Amino acid sequence: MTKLQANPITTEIIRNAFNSIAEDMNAALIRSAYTPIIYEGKDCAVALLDEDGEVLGQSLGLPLFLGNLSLCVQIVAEMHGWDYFNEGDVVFLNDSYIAGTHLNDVTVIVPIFWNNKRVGFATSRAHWLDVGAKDAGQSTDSHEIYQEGMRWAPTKAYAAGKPQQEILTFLKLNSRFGDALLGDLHAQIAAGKTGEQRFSALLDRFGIETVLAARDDIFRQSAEMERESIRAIPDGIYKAEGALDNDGLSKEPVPVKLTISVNGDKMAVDLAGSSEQTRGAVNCGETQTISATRVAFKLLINPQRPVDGGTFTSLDVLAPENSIFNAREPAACSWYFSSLGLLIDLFVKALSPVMPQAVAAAHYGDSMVLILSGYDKSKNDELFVSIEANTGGWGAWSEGDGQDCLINNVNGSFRDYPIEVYEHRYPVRIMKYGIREDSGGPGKHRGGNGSYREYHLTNDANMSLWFERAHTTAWGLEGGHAGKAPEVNVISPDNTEKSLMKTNAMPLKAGTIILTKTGGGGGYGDPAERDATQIAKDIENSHVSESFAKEFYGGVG
Amino acid sequence: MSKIRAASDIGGTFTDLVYFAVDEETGQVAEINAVKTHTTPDEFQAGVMTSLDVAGISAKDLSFFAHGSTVVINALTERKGVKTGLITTRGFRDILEIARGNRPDFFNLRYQKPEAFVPRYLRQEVTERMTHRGDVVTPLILDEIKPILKSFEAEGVEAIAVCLLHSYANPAHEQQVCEEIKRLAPNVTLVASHQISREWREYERTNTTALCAYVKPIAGAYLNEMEKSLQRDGFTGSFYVMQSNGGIDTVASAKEVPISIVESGPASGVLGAAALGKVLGIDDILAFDIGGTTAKCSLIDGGRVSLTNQYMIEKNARSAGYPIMTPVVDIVEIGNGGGSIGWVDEFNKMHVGPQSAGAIPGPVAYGKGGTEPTTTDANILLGRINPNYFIGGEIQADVAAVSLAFEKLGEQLGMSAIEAARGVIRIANHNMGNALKLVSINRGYDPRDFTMIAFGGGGAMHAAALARELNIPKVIIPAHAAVFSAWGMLMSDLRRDYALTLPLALKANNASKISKTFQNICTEATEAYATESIEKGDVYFEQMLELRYEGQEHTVQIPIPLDGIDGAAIEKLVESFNDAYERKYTYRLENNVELVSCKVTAFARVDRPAIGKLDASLFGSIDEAKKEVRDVDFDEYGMHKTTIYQREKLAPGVVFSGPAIVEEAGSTVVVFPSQILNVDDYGNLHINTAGGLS
Repeated sequence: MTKLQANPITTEIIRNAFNSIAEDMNAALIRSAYTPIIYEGKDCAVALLDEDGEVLGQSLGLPLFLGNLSLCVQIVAEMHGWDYFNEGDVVFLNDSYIAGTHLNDVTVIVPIFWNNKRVGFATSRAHWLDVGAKDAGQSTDSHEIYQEGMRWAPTKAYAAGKPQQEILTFLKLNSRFGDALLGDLHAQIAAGKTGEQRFSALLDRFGIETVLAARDDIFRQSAEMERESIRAIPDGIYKAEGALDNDGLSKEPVPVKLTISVNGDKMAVDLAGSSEQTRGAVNCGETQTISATRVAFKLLINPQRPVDGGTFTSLDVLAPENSIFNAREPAACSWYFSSLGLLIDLFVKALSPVMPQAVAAAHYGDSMVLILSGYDKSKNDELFVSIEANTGGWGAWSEGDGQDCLINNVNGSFRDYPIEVYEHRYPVRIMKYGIREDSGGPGKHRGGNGSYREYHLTNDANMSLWFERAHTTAWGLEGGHAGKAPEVNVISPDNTEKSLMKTNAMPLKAGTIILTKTGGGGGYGDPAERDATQIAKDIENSHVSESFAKEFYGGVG
Repeated sequence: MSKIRAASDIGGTFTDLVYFAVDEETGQVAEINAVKTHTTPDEFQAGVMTSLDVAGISAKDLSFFAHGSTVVINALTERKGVKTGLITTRGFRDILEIARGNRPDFFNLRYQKPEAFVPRYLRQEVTERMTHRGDVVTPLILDEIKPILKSFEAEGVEAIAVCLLHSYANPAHEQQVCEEIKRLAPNVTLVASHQISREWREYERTNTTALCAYVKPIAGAYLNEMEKSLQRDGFTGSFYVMQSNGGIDTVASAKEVPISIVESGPASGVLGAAALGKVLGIDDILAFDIGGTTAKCSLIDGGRVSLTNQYMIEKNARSAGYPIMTPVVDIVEIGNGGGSIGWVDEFNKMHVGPQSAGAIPGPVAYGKGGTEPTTTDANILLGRINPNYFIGGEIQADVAAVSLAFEKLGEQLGMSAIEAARGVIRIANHNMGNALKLVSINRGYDPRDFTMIAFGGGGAMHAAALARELNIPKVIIPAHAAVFSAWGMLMSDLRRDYALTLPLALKANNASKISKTFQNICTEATEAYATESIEKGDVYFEQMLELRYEGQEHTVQIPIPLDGIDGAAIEKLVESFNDAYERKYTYRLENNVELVSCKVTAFARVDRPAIGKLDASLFGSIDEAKKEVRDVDFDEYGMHKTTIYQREKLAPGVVFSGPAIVEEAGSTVVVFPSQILNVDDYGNLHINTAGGLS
């Protein structure tokens, strides 16, 4: 068979192939993953990289991991040289100051060899349920990374095809769910092997010269397009700021500030003025700050084009040292994503005056996590840990209402865990789950509503909570109002009630009721301009109550 | 006296009828015939009756009539169902609207969720609650039903769906709610979730139930009309409806749960491939169907059609879509068919599909005003399709217009018209190849172990190239490739699939509980058939366990012996699970194995004569089958003077090698250089894709 030559058609076929290889890898990971947070929550990402660690194709469960795997491989190569990677190796790492995220996120790198030459990397990242933090799953009150679990610099789980038994045993023994942990590691290895096989087949089919020529074309196209899109934004300095409620330990708000400068075909994002690294766990490594800024960038610049090694070449990120966005040892990083979620929203806000056709008002803002753990009496005191994120309201925009009950911006394919499956697994009964009326911000287009849930404990449990964004609620745009803040109430069996947003491993008795409410999205435009039929429809469906409509819209029509 | 067995499949453009006569005394089977007529969207049954007329068949001569239709999927996608009300467990009316909360279009700040089929004001709650084990926590308050019905009536609700939490574990409350509704409003259209699915996942089950209620009056009216039309002409035979699970069922059952026929057309094509495999003694098959707008593929393992309960409609990269949790043949479908348009985007990249030229204006070659080049047009420009025998000679292809369209496409990329046409085919083939990989390699199967059966209007055109690319050694183009879905229905038994979620450790001490569960399901199935006068002796079963490692989600299905299991058999099942798991997921673990659900397929035999072989002596020599020699462009395999054959004149036993083209009215078979084609006793074409005799 003759080899196909590089031309626009071949380039397009190869570009499609890069992305479908990544999708195949992701499918392999999701299918064989052990814990729900990966297969239901899709708290994972995969990428096929070239020999320099640049992205050929990627598939994301979690947008927040955008472009991060590429950075990880390049950092490992900087540390140990490219020859560190041998055929048959499986390298993993989770150090927050390298990978940028919390220790639960484990990056696995499988170098791809073809005809005895290293030609690329099949990489993945997934959230492991338990990596031996001081509390089951994750702690919300950690103040040093040493409390957050095992910390791994790049380490070989397999070397030249041989399992490193001591390492695997160590991993298993230091997790409360050692079997699940090894299951998830194997799922990531399966994803890596899939990438390796598919990429080798592609090279067999087209030859390496053609594939590399196509890659160069693709990268060049992406970089050109990006420059063109940035040129369309007026040159200038754009700023926005907000604050997290607190760091989980103190009561002080944690400021986040960003300054975007657009200059011709370049964009720089400076995070100066944001908080110094905090005692509580809202810090992250620089790598993850770059990833989050890329997510924000992608929301506004060519959102539909797949990411590759040519993307983000016009974007610079400056994260001051020792800040929450570029933390140093021993900063705790467990809840790193709250700072980053706010950063993304503020990026959109800063550019909203000059990109009205692309932006939306703010969304409810954070993952709104509830963790319940304990020993299940109905299952011979077996340990259980449930971790859930909650959906909330999204922001309205120039043409439409914000959506009710959707997962937040740093997540993506994250799906609610079905209640019927949840109750099989955990000694908790969910008695209500619904749309929180009146929580979306009023406007010509209203913000989406948040959700509420009511949990009844049928067993003693420890509760950890991480609810955010009461300080900086979802703001509106162009006269639209802000959405409501989140709220959590705990009602003990003796009927004492407590309101709280963050707590760590709080012991609760069977019979306790937990009521969670997530925030709404921001509205867009003056509520007085809202269409009467839309107001009537909202009232008919109780998305908005009559009294709320009267207060903000002057009643029905 | 002979009776006729017929199957009718309504597609978007054509209504196909396939039929054959059986002599009642001798059992002798006459040749299989087919008729294609235009689909009549306003009154589908009219098109069916026309096809009978065209075939010269009177309904009174039909002993067996199987029917597949798009009535359900059309009512869903065109939002032409009825105003539907939903009753849920108190506290959960929003499950349908919240859905799973996911946002698949990550970088879209303005993502819009698929809108629920039942708006919030038509969703009502009833006080009751079961646990996951099916125990009552909160008793049902039946008095709440009356005011709910009142409010539904006031709103003009025409169908009611009921889905209560954990009803898969214990449907008692759902049943009581239904009885109360029937007592108060005997004529209302009603669907309860346990009638459709006994599997967990409340959103998926609720949505399925709501969609079923939404289309039930439409599907019922249609099937009644169809029945009446047949009866008016004296029909007294058996009337069956094709379902999405790859089997037929009685019309009464289809009317009760019409969501089960949502994907009947594509399912029957896959079933046809399995049935043909059975005739030819081939068990491992990749079924591949190319139509006008899409290509579909499905894998058949050991003769068994694979099903999924995670079927979605309207799901794509931009939308989360809607789940339908009913057994549907596991098909991967992509937006690349004969009418798919080749185009260049703003970044100078060429794409094919998913936009299609449709029936109007159709490909450029139709000369009906189409200007955007399609896959079919590319095949014409490359000489693969005969412009003088386009759609069986019905239309003279407008080659000049085709050429011009590709010149324009090529200009955008700085290439010639021919190069652009090759590009369209390469990209289409690449997309289709991906779909084939998804159902095979991605699920741990090696394409080298499979035979491809290709059908639909475009299947034969692309099959040989794709098979070579994927190392599939053999392609079969069936004798009735263009009406294969209808042919499949003629070969079908009745089929009902039952599944029951039963989370349990796969340990010896649970053996009797598992055996008993299967027994109960089989008894239920046999009794259900008996109420429709289907005899116990005709009913046969397949039983599967859905297993996983404890704590994991995704499952592997393992067959379980029909005569029950004991502790020792459990050990064997664990071993088969480990093997199957490793094949699918590349590794095995030493963890405990857990049962998730028990699955039973209850078939009921339909009396079915064997299909007959062709008589080679009625055919002329191979030279008589040769139509002409013309230049055909085989892309990377070069330009060749190629012999063109007329399919109908190819005798059983004929063998020749490519390059070659075989033409018939509905499709064109492309045989690449060095590939070998032979004709079997039934008129199916076998292509050895790597070369050499098969």
